[in-house]
Amino acid sequence: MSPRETEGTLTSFARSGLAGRILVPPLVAFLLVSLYVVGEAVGYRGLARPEAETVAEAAALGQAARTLQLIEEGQNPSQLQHVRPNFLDAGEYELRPLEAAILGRHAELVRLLLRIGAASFDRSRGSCFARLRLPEVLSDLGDGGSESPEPLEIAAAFRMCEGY
Amino acid sequence: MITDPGRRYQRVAYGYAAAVACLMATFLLAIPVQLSDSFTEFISVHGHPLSQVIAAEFYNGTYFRPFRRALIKIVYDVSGGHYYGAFRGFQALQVLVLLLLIVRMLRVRSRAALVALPLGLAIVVGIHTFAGAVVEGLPVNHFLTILICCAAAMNIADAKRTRLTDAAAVALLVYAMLTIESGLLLWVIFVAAYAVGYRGVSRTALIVLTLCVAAYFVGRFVLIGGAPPGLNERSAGFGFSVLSPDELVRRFGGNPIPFYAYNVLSAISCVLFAEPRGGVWTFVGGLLRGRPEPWQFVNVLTSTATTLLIARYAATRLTNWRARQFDEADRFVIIFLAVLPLNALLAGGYEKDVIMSPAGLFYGAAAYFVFRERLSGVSAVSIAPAVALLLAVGWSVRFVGIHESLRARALSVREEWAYYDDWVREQPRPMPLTPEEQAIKQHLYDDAVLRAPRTPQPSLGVAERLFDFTQ
Repeated sequence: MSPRETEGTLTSFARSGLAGRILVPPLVAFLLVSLYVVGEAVGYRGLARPEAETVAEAAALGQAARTLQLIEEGQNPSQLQHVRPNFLDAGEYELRPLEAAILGRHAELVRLLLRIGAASFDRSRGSCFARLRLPEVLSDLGDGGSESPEPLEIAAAFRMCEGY
Repeated sequence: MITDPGRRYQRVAYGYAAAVACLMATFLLAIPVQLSDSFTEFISVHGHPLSQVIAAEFYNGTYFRPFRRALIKIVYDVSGGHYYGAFRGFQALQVLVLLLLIVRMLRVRSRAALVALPLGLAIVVGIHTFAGAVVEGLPVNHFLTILICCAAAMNIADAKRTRLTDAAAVALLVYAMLTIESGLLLWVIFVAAYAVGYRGVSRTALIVLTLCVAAYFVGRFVLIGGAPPGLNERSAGFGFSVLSPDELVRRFGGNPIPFYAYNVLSAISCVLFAEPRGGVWTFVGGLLRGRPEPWQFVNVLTSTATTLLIARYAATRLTNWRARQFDEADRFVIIFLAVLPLNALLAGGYEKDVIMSPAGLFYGAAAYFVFRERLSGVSAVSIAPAVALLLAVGWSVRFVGIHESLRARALSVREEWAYYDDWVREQPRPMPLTPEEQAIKQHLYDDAVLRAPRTPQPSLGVAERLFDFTQ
């Protein structure tokens, strides 16, 4: 090793602040990520997106794996379920998973739910939602009805189809 | 009790590297074995002896990677059916080994060296070329394997020369170059290290290493009759978009040289300036459209400023280099300058950030030494405190960003498995599975979809726009 490399003390330049400027940010980043991991391990969710607790919430987010996991755990995908605020929009709704996937505009998940038989109920409200929010799945739902030219907002679509 | 301060710094450095690796491991262990590029690998190695797996890859058309699947096969057999834990655990172990080898090669034996280490590791881990080595499972990520080989090569080159170091150098090169093409860079590292004064590998061993590389090319292109990948192999970035294989053939089929040259230059620029990415000028495109993303500014500005610092350092040391006077920092900067263009040649066929990961590793090491020299007060390169702070903050953001990407990857892999039936339908050939293969598929599906640990996605508001989720 050359004398340059065996330098054991910081120079006045380093002491003037350079060392701190170089050292502190990456250490803080490391500590922040570590704290996040520890917090998560003990159940802190303050910095996490809301997690789906019902199949309908998972479907509203378009999370297929979580949808299937919750069905496997025993939730009935044909039942009305509660969807909390901020899963679809600021409102809260009572929806079946298929309807939640339609309102969330997740066409692939709609088709997956139909494929696994998670839609054994009267689908007229779902078709109504699809006409207003996701017309490309109308044929999958067996409905050839007319469609809305522009996807309606979720709350408006919910109000218009509430009677079904 | 450790009385030698040098050793004390070294121990702290190893401890910090291990902590960084453990932190990343917690994110890696949340990612199930992926469907694309992993499930098919399992099917390929299942039920075949190791020798057959290796032999099959000797004659695999355009690619010559006989050891690539060997490591997958070994981990697969050792897993005893616990694929998720085995493969993700192996990747986490690889990250730990890599970071410890990096700390060893950086020779952290002074306070200045220790102070610069967190930033050095933030650069090595946070650089976009490293992301592909951890975000993808594959299911054994061979780019990560090659990075370990590169760091091991530097440690061998820096060791006290014995017959063992010579033999280890040859074995490492043979293993690496028969794993993926990037392994050929080990030859560059050994030769460049010798040229700047490292003597862990003898001149005789260098000749043997050179003969090994020659044998590789003769074996691959003459004896086996392999051909380099053609334009019709895959899509590739060009300019502001990604061209399909058909488009590539139409535009460059008559003369592919301009396309290859573009890729080589893009690959060099990708490491130095974080632009283009995968051959596509996303930041420039964003600027032209007036909508660049904040993370693009972070990436491009930190990389460009760091490159300028390395360039200024090189310029101030040029006289010493001409007189063949090298210290530790000089050596790493020169080795980086040697690895960069030759690494870029390997990206000639198509530019992908992770192909440049060896150059990215030495880029991080070179930057580390520039900062360390400045902290030691012996470097001729001055760094304004504000610039140092901005750089450190920028690289720290990228360090956090890689962890965010890993968390997002956990979700996307789960989603990929949920749509398994769609994936099968999209395959170019039908994929009938034997009952055993069906059982493997079901096991992986259950791991990813039904038994997967809950991995909450961070929600950091506007701060998330600082992170590069494209990696």
